[in-house]
Amino acid sequence: MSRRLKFALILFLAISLGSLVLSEVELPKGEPGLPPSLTYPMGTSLDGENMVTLNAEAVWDTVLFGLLSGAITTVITSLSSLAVYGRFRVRGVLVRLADAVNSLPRLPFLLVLALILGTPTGSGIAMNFFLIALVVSLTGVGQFMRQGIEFFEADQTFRSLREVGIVLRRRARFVVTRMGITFYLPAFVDGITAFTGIGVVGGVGDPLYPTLTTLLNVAASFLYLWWIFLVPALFRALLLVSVLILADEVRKNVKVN
Amino acid sequence: MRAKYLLTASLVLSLVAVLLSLASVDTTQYSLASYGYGNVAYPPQDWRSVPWAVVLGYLPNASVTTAGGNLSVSSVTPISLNSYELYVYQVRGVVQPYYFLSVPSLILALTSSLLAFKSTFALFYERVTGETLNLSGVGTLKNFLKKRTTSYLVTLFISSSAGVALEVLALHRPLERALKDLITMDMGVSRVYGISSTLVVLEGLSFTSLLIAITFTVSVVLSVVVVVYSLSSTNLRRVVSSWRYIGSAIATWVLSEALIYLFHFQLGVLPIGRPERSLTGYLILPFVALFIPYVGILANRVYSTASIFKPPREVGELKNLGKDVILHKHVLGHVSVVMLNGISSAFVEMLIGEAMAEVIFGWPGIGTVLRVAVSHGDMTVAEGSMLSFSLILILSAYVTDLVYGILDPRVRR
Repeated sequence: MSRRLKFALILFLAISLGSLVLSEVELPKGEPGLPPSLTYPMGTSLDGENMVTLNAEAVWDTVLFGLLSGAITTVITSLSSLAVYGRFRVRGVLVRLADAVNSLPRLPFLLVLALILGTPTGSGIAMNFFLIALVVSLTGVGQFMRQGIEFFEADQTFRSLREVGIVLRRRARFVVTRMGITFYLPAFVDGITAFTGIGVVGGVGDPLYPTLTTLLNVAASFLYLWWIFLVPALFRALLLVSVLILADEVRKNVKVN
Repeated sequence: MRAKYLLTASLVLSLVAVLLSLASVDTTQYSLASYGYGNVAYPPQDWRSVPWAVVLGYLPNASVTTAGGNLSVSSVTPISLNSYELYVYQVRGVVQPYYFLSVPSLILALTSSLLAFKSTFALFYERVTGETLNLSGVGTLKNFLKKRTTSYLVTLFISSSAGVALEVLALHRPLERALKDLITMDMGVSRVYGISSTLVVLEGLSFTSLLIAITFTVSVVLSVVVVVYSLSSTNLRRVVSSWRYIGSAIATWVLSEALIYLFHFQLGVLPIGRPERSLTGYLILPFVALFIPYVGILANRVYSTASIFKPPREVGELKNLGKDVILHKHVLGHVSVVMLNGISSAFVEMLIGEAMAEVIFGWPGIGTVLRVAVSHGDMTVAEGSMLSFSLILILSAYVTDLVYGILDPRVRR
């Protein structure tokens, strides 16, 4: 394991697990908008919440979002890669489908979908967290599918269900592992980035699952309180840097045969 | 062709793009009136088709004059009169008459950046090798573009179908009406602003084009310079490599928040929001917020592509060529062409990044228009923005292919 990989893995685990633990701990509330002090190391929010708890919850929700969208994207990409073994012109159809999704401008398209599926609140759109993860993954899966399909040669076609079983047994583990390594972490980052996009531009989010984007969005109106935006921004940067380095290093170091 | 002529051409185009976008955000006073006889005063029929500068916050004012005097009107709607009488209904306000120049300005900004990208490389190439650019080749540009046009028509069809499907499903419009709206590019009246959604989107796009026209070409040229020097300096290469992570992780909008905190709230030297007086002051912070991450991201992409083309050391020895000649002729020569498509994607990414920065800065571009539309359930504007983005995406890819065809004769075959 390279030093960079170790560093990124430790950083990612520390941020994710640390935030999961801290989000469960009851920390004292205080006066609204207090700057960092010994009692409140990250200050308090505009409604007096301890910013340590808020940041921890937001980091964990962001990680959860990344994990979800990474999983959805990887599963769809893996399935589509397996489907190229199909008898009919599955490869051609999937490539066209991926191209069709890719040809739509993602951010405005996501916002239009959010308008249909969510509820406008006057300052943004309230939408279910898991539905956002699904929609974000489905609109981003095209770019991964396109690469995934090109990974494998369609050297075999199914003639019977028995053959399907044989191919699945022989190739599925390889396809899923390779897809996981190649696409999971990039899809994780892609999911968070797309959510950030619709969060910042459209104020899309689930009030029950505040992410770092939600915190930064709220902070955009109170930028004179530096601890409200700088700390979540720092956590977001650290989280993304760790995942980006992890993705690069895993691709370089882990070989699947 | 000499690189300096190509660079001059790109600078001229870039300047024209900025001038067009400046014209597109220009405003002036305008009024229109209708008159009639009846117990209800109706506003002029086509007042919603006038480009009132609504994204700048200038909603049109209305007044009704009858023989009895002036009636105060809070919004532009039909007004009941006390009796049958002659009336004059006047709507006046500030308009953005050249809003339509935003699209050509965006396309010119992209074209100038593509040329600037190629010519900056060529300038270094000429300095090292003493050779000039060769733009002649087999195959015609016409045939090349004919092939590409088909693929763009398919893309346009897909985007349009998505637009029509959304209009039918979300706005519950009949299919024929949705198709007619699409062909005439008329998405209907904006729920928030009360005027044509197409106008609202294009007005927002004017401010976006101004920022892009200034930022994009500068980012492209600087990223090329950074890459050329980083290829021969290990320290600079390390900085460029880290810049990618910082650029992706910090992102334009986070940097925007930090800049606002420092320069607006702490130092109080730069304004933010809707431009009121001179545009320059309002442009500085968004420019910096976009420029810093994008130079890093672009430089890294160019650098990664350069790594692919880097030949083994023995090639230089066998061909008896110096390290610099190998670098500029065999590495950067390929990169300057292959990366043209990458510049086109970077342009689209910058549009998205800019939309986010606009929301943070309160800059009245397409990002702010989308934010207001989405928050208030204004589907027509949101849908109009999606279709405008699609059109820009397709046009920018088409322009890239055209420039590609001119600059790389091999693709015309």
